[in-house]
Amino acid sequence: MTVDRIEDRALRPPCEVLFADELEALQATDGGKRPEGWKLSPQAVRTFIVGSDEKTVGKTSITIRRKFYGDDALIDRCIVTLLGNRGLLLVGEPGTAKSMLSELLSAAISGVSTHTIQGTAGTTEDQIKYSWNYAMLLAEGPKPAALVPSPLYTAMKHGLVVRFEEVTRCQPEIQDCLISIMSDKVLNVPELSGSDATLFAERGFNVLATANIRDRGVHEMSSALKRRFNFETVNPIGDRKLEIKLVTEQTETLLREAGVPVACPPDVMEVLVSTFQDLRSGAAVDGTVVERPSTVMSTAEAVAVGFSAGLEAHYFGNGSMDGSHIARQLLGTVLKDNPEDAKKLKQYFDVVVKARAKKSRAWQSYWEARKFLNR
Amino acid sequence: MSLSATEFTSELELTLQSLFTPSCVYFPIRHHSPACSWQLAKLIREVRPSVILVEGPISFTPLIENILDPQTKPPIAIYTHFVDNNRKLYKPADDETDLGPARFAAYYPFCDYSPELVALRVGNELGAQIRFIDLDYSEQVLAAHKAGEKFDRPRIESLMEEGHLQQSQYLKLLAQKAGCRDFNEMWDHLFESNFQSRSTESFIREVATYCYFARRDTSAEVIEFDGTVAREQAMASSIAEAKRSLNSDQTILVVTGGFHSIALPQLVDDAGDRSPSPSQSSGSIQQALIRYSFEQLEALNGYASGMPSPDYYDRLWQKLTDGSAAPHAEVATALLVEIGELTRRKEMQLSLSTADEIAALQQAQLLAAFRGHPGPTREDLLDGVRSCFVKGSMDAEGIVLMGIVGHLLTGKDIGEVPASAGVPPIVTNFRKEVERARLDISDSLKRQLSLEIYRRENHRRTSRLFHSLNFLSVPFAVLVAGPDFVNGKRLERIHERWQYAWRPQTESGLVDVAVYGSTIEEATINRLREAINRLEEEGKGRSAGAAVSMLILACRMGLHRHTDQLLSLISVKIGDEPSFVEAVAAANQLLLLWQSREPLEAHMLKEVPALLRAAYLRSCYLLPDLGQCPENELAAALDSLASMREMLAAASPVELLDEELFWQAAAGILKTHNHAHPSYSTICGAIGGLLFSAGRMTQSQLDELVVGNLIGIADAQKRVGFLRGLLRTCREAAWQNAQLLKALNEIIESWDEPEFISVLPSMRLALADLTPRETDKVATRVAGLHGKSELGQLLEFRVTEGELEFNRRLTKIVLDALANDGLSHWGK
Repeated sequence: MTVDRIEDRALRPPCEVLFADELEALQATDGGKRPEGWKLSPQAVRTFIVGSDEKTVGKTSITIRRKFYGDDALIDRCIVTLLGNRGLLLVGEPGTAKSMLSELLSAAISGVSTHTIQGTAGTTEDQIKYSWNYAMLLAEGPKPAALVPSPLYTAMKHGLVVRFEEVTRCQPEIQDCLISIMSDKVLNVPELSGSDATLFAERGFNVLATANIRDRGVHEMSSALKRRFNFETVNPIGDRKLEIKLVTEQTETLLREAGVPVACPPDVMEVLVSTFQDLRSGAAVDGTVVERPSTVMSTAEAVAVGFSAGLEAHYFGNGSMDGSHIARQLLGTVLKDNPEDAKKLKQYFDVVVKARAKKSRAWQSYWEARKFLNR
Repeated sequence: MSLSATEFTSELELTLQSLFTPSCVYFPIRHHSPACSWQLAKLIREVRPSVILVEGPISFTPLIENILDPQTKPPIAIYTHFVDNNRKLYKPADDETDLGPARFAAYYPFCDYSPELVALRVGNELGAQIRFIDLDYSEQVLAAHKAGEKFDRPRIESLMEEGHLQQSQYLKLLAQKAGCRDFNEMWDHLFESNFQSRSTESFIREVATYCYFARRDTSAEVIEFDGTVAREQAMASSIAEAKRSLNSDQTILVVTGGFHSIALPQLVDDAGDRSPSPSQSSGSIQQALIRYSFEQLEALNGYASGMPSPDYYDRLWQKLTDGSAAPHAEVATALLVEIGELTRRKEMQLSLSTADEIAALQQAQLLAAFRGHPGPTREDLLDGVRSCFVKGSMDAEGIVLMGIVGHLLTGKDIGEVPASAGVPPIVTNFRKEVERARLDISDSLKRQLSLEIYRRENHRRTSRLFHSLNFLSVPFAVLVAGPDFVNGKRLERIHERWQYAWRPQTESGLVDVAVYGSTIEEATINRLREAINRLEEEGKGRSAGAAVSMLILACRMGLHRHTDQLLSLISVKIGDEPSFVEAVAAANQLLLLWQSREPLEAHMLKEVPALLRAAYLRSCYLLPDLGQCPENELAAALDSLASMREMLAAASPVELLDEELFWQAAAGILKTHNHAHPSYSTICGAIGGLLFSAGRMTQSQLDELVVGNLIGIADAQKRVGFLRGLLRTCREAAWQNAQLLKALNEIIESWDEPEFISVLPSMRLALADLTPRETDKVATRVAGLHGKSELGQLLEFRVTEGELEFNRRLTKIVLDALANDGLSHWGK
């Protein structure tokens, strides 16, 4: 048999594969009490996410990397919520690493993060609960073998955490089919009879959903369903230095993987991250108030801008990145579909960038590239 | 000095051992910590010390009797006030205006759960002698001054300050490692959660260790700089003296902030036989026991002096004294139920059910278990609320709820002091101020007073006093006449006329506001802060103008140094301002504030130019929207446009505002060609006029604009609108611009009678701004277009003298008749 390793084939392996060694080390040395159905103790889950602070775990030589930057108390609350009766709903603006956090939590708790329902406007109740292998259904009538389980069904059956991405993109009536499952922890399959007709959730089962509350194209959530969830807000990174560090690291990684030998100068990265932070918060460091664009200025977007700026510098420039590359690439990020945003970006340049242009070369070249904004 | 790990440990061990000796016990506390209080009470009952020495100014000792009075009900505070009459601390430099002797005020608050109060109460119960041992407040200030601290502004501070602990880098890192968000959470995590299961000795050792590391981390200069060294020496001398006077079988208990406790034993040994140096205070000092409130305490805690959320810890203390086995859980349960009730009573969007309360309690308890606490601490409780009660995102739904929870945890309690505590300091302060202003309050007669607020400093101060009292709703003075800086009216007046009278209500009004502060200034500051908070809570509904008006009011009251919050609020409001007219109005108000130098003294506010700039930038940003301005706002929009030009002219000498932004935005409107909108032509006219009169548009460009908008557009209303806009900002165009008159002449000739009648009102509106002389000029030009040089007879001669006289008499008869019927206003 050939060894067919998922990490060799997959474009992006799930995090239980990516961090298999860390999970293994934690499992081996975990001294805490494991709740039933959990692969790790709550403390170890926390360590998996916030890192072991450069210390090796137990007797192994493995250190646990910090995977989520931000509020550690949020992680405590998330873990404790998943221990309890209610589901966990992570809310926040796009690009704040909600999905990553949900993936990490389910990988650490259940050892698998792939039991995922992707919510869309077209999601049906079948996709959430179960559907049928119709050929077999017609041939042999309803029986367990003909049932096609959904990720939720499987998670209930085996006591796992099921992820529900973008739950608010589903129609409210469809979302509401979660209500009875979450409060009674039972799924009825009326087509079957006997003990097969009711699926009782194993211990360890819970629902971990993510949602954008204010994005376009999302639906309201009924208060009945709201009551079944604990809401946790994931905020963008507020610390400028930390965000600069993260964006620089991730941009450099992307550029390296793309085989583009362009460096990320610190002053250019500062321009990039400052712009994102200012526009996100609606105020510059010195307190100047700026208008917030309607698009989301997430860290992930900043990395995307940095990466494109690097590509542009390499293929169309002289190979060194400066403020003008950022300015040009910023357009596509900030100006998505709302013409008002062009005005806001221009105001930002007039009010904030102009004043900073004297500060450094990167800001200067950034300011000089403002002409590209008039399109 | 760097030590190796072993040396470190042995030094720490020595320090810890010195705290707990048979003759003397040093109890390290954190101010307002129930855990410390509980352990302290236990220790006092066990050790039964003969003398208890408490950190606090020596001169407070006589007040102990009042504090222990059965009528006294915390929260209370000792208020102390010091005026540097001998000018030891502050002398103005030659180029500065003299602000008078420096003034300092400080509070020493007590709650039921304050370790200091517990020491007094339990000690008194067991018959111990109790004394305060710290330097007097005036000496503390002098000591800090000697060490180099600058005093250039009046201060109100807390005598329970713990900045050294809160600013310690070591403790900050420790908090980070422990996964705590801040200093308070870490304190709760380490000390407030499972103190009941620890022995007193180990509790003392742990608190002391904690403080030891904070102290190791604080440089000697910093400790010297704020007078800590001098204070500790004084405390050490007092302790040494007490030690000498006791028998060998008696014990002294020293209760001080932990930061001092660990240094004191060594200092006491060093002090030897030195007796405490006699008081060196100079200037006038005053102190009084006053009623205090949890809200004030919470505000004071904002300045790093003790634990937050007084009501939460007060509840915890109640449970502790009732002997509850699980105080944390009981308090958490009670609070969660109360929060649920509150949301139901306030009919919030999503009111909370009992099931939510149960879930939140479970969450808080699980979190506590997860973090290793025996019961939910304050942050565990708050996290339970965050998880289970907030149904939405934290920065929207969460803000309202967390606001309610914050208020609930702060509490509203106001303390009581016995009658023997004397007249509240604010009344004394009022009498002093009145005396200084030479006002007569010997009877309750109404008196007039005219204040020269521009010329005389002392009159300005009296005016501020009056404005402050009015703001505090203390009935005393009424402003009869004077300039109105808020609305920019009657600015030509240089006097304020007031009428004042002392009434019994004046003093009762003062007592009512005493809880806001111990001087009129302080009470005003706190009330202002409250008003600002309210303004903030009102949210986006209110314009920047309201905030700027409040800033002007603050300047009227002389509170320039306390406007930081207001200034940042204005900055936010300006950023949110959706209306061009309002943004310009705010900018104009700020300009007025900045320019009216003496009476408002706003030049002391360095931020005003920056805010003015922000308001100006916002106006420029909103300017392009004017093209679609609703018709009923046109008049205001035109006025705002015109006033922007004046603003630029007024601010240009100092290059405060970036003119280009305005002109670019203005020129941008002309390029949008949004002629479908009914207001666009009018705005175009106004902008054309502005650009032309500023020399940013040539004659031929203006001609083009005129032809385009007058001839090129078919809609008569829009044509006249353009004319109205143009003449509003550039009246001279009417007689200087031949093209304008020609075009106007052409279109008027093209109108038939009904069309002319329909636009006549707008036409009148457009031309109404011209003065009679200008009207003549225009008329002459128009006559010229028709080949005439003379206007002909303009005066009406068809009425004879007799007819005129008859009509005048008739008018008088009619007016009299109307007046007889009480309808005289009809005739006006």
